[in-house]
Amino acid sequence: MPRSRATLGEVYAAHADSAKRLAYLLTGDRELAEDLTQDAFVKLAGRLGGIRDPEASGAYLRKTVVNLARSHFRHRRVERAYLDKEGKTIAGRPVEGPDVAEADALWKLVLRLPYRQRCAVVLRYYEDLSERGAAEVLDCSVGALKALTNRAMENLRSSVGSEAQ
Amino acid sequence: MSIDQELRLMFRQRADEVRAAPVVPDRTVRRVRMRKALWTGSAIVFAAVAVVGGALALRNVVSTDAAPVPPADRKVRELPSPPEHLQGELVATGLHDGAPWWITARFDKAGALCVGVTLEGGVGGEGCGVGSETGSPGEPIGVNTFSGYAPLAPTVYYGEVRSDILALDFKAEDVTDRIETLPAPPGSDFDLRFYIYFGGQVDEIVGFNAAGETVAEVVDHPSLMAPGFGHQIEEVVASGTRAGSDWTLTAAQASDDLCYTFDTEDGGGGGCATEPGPAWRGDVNQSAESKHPDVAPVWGAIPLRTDDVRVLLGDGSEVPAVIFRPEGHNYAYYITWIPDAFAAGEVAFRIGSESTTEPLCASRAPGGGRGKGNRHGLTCASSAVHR
Repeated sequence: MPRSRATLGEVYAAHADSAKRLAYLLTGDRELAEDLTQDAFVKLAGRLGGIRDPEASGAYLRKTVVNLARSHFRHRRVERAYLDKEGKTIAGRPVEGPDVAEADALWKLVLRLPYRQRCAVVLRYYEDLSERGAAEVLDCSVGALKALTNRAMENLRSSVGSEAQ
Repeated sequence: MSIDQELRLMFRQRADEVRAAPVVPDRTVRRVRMRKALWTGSAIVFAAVAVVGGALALRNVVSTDAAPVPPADRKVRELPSPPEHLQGELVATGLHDGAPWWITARFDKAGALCVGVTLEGGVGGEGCGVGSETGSPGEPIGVNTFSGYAPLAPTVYYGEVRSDILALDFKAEDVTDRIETLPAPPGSDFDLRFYIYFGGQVDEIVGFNAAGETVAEVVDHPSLMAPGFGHQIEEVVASGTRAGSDWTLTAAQASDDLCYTFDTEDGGGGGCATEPGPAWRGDVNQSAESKHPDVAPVWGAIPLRTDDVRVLLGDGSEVPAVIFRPEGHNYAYYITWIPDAFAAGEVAFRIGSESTTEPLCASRAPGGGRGKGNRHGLTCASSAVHR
């Protein structure tokens, strides 16, 4: 047990910040990013014995964070219906995390992208992954990754253009 | 500065605002320990089940009382005759878990290819493809979904594929299912293949040719997204309480794609589709929870120009629907409740002096919807098309 605790601690020290930052860029919500990061480490802890390459831990965490964030967005519909019951109307309001600054238009536009498109641009422009690397994280082909990235960029360009008008 | 550079800079600035706790939080350590304990416990339970199961299996093998199972009890069924009201050419048919399905294809008045699926009892849906007009190549994989028919699967995916696509992979988070596409029958009007897949949430569909090469992919088609997922500007169109049960009608306004869902504590349903054709007059969705069949919702999307929607019940009574026209949406939505979930009747959609009707789908379900197969409730959907 002490050995696995130490290993978990080492991996945590090496990758926790990057995992939480990725989660934040995918969700726009600091608290949610923290939760997803901890969830990812709980999942990782069960795999540590099978991961020999320290770099592989980072890749595993990255993919886990992306999958956990996707699961979160799938379940969000139910939570939002609950919010509505509580009298906090959400009609007409874009979905955004509580930490999104009003002034940062580009950030808001990124958070409005469909999840897989948002993943594609975050993995390409923040994580600096190659097309192949990003496609592996999203579990799709390079062609599909290119299509997602292109659509995301088209959406951002058209949104930036329309907001500028 | 280009948008690529702006993105990189913005991501860096945003990321710098966030830091994880410096050491593994105690709650995470506790969860890791609990998970390990659960794994150990699960292994013990699994071993116990295996022992008991093995003993039962052995008992069955050595029993001399065991009689051969008659074919009727094996749930093997002959394929029944197709329902009478099928529209278009019957291009494929088969059984899923013993329940029959039929795929039809036709061109609508606007020349768009419409592919429909009909399940036992006449429940089903139809999708007409924009971009698949006669003579144009269309999309290599046409995707339609039909959600909420709980007895079979959360979602039925169906449609047409280019004739060189012989197999499809349906990729979800952890699972990939491969199915073979089905050729149109000899002499068919359609030089296409067709498919049907019963499953849950799918993220990607990949098409393969005879050599096993990937020749087509569908990644973020609206039909592949759960209602609201990927459509960030999703709104609660209306909500309330009916017979003590809270309900919510939610829709996405992001594009011409049609995405909406109806939730109640007793069930509901929803889905996404590509832009409906010009002849589309509205959807008819019904949810029939067996505990409350006397307060049954009927809802759907309609064109914005719709003036009136009402249910015309078989006993001659009429139940008007409430129409919601949320700002910024390309569609309007309606909802009403009828006193008998399985009543015969139809929904009438009126635009000016033109009226189009579509039968209530629940009454066409197996056994009139009241059979044993529906003890868990029923959700069904269909679309009204003006002819």
